[in-house]
Amino acid sequence: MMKRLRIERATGQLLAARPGAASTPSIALRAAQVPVRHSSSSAVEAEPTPIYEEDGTDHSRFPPLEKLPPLTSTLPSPLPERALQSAKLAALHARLSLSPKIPLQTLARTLVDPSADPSPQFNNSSLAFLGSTIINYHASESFMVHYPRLPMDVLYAAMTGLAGPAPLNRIAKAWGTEVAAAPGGEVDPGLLQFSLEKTGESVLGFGYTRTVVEKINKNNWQRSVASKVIYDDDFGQVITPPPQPEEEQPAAEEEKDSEFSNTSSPKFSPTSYGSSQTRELSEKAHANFVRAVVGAIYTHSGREAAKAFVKAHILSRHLDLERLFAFKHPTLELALLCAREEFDPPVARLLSETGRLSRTPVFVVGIYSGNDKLGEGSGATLEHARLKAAMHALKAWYLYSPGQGLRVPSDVLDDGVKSGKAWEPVYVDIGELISR
Amino acid sequence: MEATLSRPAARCCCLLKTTTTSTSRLLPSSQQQSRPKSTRARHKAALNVPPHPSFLSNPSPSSANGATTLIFNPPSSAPSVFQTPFKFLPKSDPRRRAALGQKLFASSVTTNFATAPVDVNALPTIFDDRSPATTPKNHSLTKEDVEEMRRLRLADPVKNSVLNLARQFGCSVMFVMMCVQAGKEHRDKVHVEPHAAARERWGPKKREAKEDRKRRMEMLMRGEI
Repeated sequence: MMKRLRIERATGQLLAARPGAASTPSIALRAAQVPVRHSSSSAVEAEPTPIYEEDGTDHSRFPPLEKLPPLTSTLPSPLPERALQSAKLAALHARLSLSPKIPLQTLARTLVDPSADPSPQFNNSSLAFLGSTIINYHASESFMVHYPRLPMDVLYAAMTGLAGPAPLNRIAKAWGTEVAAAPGGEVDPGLLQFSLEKTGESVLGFGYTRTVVEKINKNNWQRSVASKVIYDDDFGQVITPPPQPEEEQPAAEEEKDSEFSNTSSPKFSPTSYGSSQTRELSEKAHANFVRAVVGAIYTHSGREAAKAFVKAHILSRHLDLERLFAFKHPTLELALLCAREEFDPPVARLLSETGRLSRTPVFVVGIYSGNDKLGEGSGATLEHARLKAAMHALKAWYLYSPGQGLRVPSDVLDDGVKSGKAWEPVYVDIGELISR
Repeated sequence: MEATLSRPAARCCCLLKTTTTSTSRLLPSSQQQSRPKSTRARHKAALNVPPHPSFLSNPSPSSANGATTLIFNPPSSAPSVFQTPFKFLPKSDPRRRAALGQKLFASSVTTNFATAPVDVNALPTIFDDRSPATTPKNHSLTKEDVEEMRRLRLADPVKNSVLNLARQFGCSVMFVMMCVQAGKEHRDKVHVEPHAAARERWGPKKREAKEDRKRRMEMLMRGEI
């Protein structure tokens, strides 16, 4: 069911939005950040001839869609006060059912990626960092309470599957986020702005840069789980430092820029499907937008609203945890498990079979510890069936859940204070079976 | 005798034998076009399969009153991994206490199809030689034993194979491999070179089949098949 558009509510937001909420920049301050290519030649040319704007666009042929303040297209991102006039932004605000407490200027800021505007005062890096901590906290808390025996590797995979860049990218697409062809001051503030030509610098998550990070990336070195916990980010991925700017970078850039202004052909055509690198940049920008929205909700509406939003949009998504497992020696692992837990050693027993001498036999094998059946699997050979039964038993162990819909630690902050219900400790597993 | 007679086809043959002579069975071609009434009735009877007992177990007296009845008869499928076996429940889990109270898991062989408890020890075991339950374990090996094991293995790795040493010292194969590893030359000679030579003789079909088998095992380990 589609919701009715609440025009009066939107206008209410427009009125309620405080213009001073986002810091309004002076044009002079922002002109200092304008790239080199706009500084001297083209700007000087733009002053005497009114046909050509400062960006070199012939406005007699391509008239602007709306009346823009002077020198707008020299800015890296749209001015905050233009957020009040954007229909797309108001529509996005209404579609997400955001609280009227969240001003449109803040929502406009969540759409500016660091690659579009490097200034942290105008891009979404701070909000995205805040949002990522909130999302990752609620996701990991939910996994820890509901699946206390998940191995660390699987927990990382589950976190990536629920709160990583790929699912957040899909969420942003499902929200109907539209993308600007290229970032700039003249684009609609309701469009997601990011650059396909450079990566923005932003701190997104906790972790350390390893000293051997180049060798890890080049040789595909194995990393221990313990070191992943210490060094890597919330998804167990290596933190790669941003590329260092080289000495001859400015000269090369000037050449490129002069070429760019002469031929006016960008490196990546906005109409093409792009490469894997551009897709990755797009995914990153979309994910950071979702995180920044959560950060904005937390900033303006508080913890409970942010938690409800995360629960509704991110934690409610279905993730098949069973598919995240991959084993190397399942029978050995099961034997180790039984030895650690002081169960009887596992024995594989044939439960039923059909067509042993045919082309397509089926064997059903159960794994027993004493009189208790731990797992069951069927396969075309005895070996496959036994391995499947062992993997089934291991998954049943790892995916033990005390129940669904349990209280998580952050629930105590919400209703525990009001109702006075004390926190009951949850089940905590003694640790991993195999230290990898 | 009774079993054969209860089969409709057999009964039909008996009827044919008694009622018709051998010469009259060769019918003219015009009559072979149409199926005899007896055959059609027989086929209809064969297709008239009675419903599964679970549909009949509850004659649903409530449906006579106009109320709806729920019939739950799911097709047989692989068990879910989210059903934790009784043994894997932690001590604090309330399901454990409830199960112990009701003695639901007394035998713990509670499959979907079997209502009567199965005697576990009567089920045939497979891969006994690889099972940790049946492999003999000698946990009293001394340091001298381990050194002797190393010496034997390094002196003649062909004669003193891992399996032979495990049998000799009464320990597991894994323990022997933990204690001593034969040199690289022996590994290449026994495991790599003969296989490489055999692989050279493989044709395209066999190579493809071997690759498929390897890929299938990888998929199995990822839980895809």
